[in-house]
Amino acid sequence: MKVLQFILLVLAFSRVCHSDIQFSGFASVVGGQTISGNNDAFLADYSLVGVYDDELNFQPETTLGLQARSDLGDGLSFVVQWIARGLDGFNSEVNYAYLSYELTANLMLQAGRKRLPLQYYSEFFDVGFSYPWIRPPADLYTWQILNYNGMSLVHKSRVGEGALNTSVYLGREESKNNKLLSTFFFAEPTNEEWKNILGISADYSINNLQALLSYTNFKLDRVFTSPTTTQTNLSNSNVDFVAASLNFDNGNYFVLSEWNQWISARFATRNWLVSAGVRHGHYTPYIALSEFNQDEKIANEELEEHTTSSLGFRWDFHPQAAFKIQLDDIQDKGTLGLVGDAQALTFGVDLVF
Amino acid sequence: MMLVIKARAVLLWLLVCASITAHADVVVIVHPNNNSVFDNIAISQLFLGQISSFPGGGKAIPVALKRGSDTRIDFNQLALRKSENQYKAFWSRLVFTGKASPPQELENSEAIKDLVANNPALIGYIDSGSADDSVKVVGTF
Repeated sequence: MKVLQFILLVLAFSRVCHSDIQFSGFASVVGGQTISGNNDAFLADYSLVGVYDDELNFQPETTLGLQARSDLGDGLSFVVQWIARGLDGFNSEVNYAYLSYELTANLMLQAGRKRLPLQYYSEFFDVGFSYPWIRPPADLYTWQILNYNGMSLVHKSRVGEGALNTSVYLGREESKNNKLLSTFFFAEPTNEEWKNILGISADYSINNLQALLSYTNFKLDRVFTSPTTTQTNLSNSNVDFVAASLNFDNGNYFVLSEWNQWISARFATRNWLVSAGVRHGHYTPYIALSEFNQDEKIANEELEEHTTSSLGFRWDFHPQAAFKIQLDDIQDKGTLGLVGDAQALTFGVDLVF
Repeated sequence: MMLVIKARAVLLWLLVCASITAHADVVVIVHPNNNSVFDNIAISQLFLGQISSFPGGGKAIPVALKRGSDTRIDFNQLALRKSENQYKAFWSRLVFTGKASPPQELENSEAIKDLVANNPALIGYIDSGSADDSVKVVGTF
């Protein structure tokens, strides 16, 4: 469904129901191109295979989101968030659709479709306005599954002088003809399923410090489905994913960090990022360093290993909009030679409404 | 010589007065029956959706002023340590992930005071000049 069609549909729906529906949304219009490199390609978004080449392109990362929230009273609400991406020709898809119920003042139950909260930026990855960079460093956000259908329980409390937010989530997600695996990794149609997803995360904030620790376990099924045959690549393969973030932000400057690891029988990686920036009024220059590092002790002879050094600038020219420009230097150090070296310039405007 | 010193003293006095009127305090208010004890960190956590109940218990619903109000700018800067853009960026993380909804925004301090005076679940901020006996002041910035 095209963006305009679903906006009209939602508006028509709200008229018919006479219900109180609040709309909000976000948009990122981003363009860019490689400026040097050994194969003129910059893989900016692994999950959806957003690639820039040596000619200016606005397709790989331009994203629009629209959210409708209906508050039914007594702690019950329903939220739908549609997302349309340049990569998919702006066909919309449901990014979030969930029912939320406040069991107590501090305990909330949600059920439906959501982003899978594997790591710090997973859930608001598409909301560019909410973080300093053009995108969370690509080396750490390379996973083939982004959403899940299931439920979560969220608890908020005060521990010491800080605020503790813990959540438990469970669910499942099947991705037929998965974009990353089918078009990038295996060059044949690949179905990916994450079953029995069970995760827990704890987020603690005190003054200018925030720490997040999360653990997710699931069983992975992967099947190659060429027109003539189907071949099972992985069946019920156990995956343990752990992520930790530590952030400092006093309003004038910030230091952000994340570390994560994926461990399964045939594949393991440990990845990290560090970023820092200074705010001068509406101007925020920043730097970021990140690395994806496959564990050589497990399986493959050919290893995936890449680093990104980024230098960028955010200008909050409007209370709800920011212009960003970013230079990325990607070094592919792996024997697999997955992405190749590249230097790229991307720029764009992020807004929320 | 004395005249110069006196003139300087008067000038200094005028400057002090001017700076006081330019920065009227922001006060945080709750219903008079609310017996929770507040520290500034708890106030900040309530207005940033990090906690959702009062320190003494009971569901807490924050209400804020609309964008463009000087009192809002002062409160966000002094209590939350955020500019308008940082406030918006912070809330966009919660709004688009279902973690919390931002405070309802009202036109002026009087409107906030009237609501808070009639609802024990609310907590709001207003300019100190608007406060009266109908509400209880639990923080000053």
